[in-house]
Amino acid sequence: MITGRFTLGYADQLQAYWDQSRAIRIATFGILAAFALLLVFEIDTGQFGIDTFHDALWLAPLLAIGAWFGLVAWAIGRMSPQQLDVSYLIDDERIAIRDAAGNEVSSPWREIRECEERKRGLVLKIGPGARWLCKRAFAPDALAAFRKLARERLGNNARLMVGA
Amino acid sequence: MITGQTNVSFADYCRALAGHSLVARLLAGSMILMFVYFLAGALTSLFSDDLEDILGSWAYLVLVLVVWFGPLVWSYRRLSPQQRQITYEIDSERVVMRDAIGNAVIFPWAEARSCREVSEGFSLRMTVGRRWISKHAFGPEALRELRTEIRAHLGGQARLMD
Repeated sequence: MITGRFTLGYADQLQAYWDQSRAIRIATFGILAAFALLLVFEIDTGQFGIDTFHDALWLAPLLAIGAWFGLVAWAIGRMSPQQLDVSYLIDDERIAIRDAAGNEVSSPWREIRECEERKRGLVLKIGPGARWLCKRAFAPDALAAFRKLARERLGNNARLMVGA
Repeated sequence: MITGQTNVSFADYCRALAGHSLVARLLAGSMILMFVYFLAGALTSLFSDDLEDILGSWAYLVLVLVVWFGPLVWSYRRLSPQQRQITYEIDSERVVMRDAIGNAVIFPWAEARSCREVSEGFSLRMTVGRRWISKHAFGPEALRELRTEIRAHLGGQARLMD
């Protein structure tokens, strides 16, 4: 049994959203690109801040990104210390994510299509969704054991960091 | 132990997602408002003599439908028949929702804050987010037991239909 435990923080939650969905990463870059283009267009055509519409045009992408950071902070702020106390229990059969309040989400290995290791987490692609495991929850030997197990169960679909 | 089993329909899937959090409900509300706005525009355009105006209005409506509902339909279609087959196992301690493949979501009753029963199911407000329990999964007797269980845990916060 591979186990890990950590206290979920704001940075972890942001990292989880960022890591687990390529759609979110693409959408964020899209919004930033739209913001930059609009800003350049507005300045170039001399329309920057001339009325409310033109203000809204360049403020909207900034507000969208700001709201997202705010919503994550709001969600984390509402969680109890028990909900933030997260444990992982991983064996040959399944991966379970538990909090100290008794909530649990688990999936069998055969449901996991892919494992992608990123700088701070491990992203498991399951069905239409994904699960994010925080790497700092694991001791070095537990992390090595997880990588070995992921390779065994997923083969080439375990995209682990080079040298890991 | 109260048990029930159902195949998740697209309507259940939308309800479960839309009811999951305040953000999701706000998004769902804005989706409906946008849809009504563009539908009104498209219907009004039928009385216009300008073909571009008519086509443009309907194009907006189709775009809204594709952008808003497309991801929902896409993710629902990606669920396998086993993933849509949900079993509920409910006792005095906790609620277990399991699909036929072995994915499971478990939450203790202590995490539930309130419950609202609607014609299709129970919407449980949790400390963070919501959980949806479909009524299709249960027989009449199990449904009665479930209501008793909900009342026992939530008291006045259980707004049930019986």
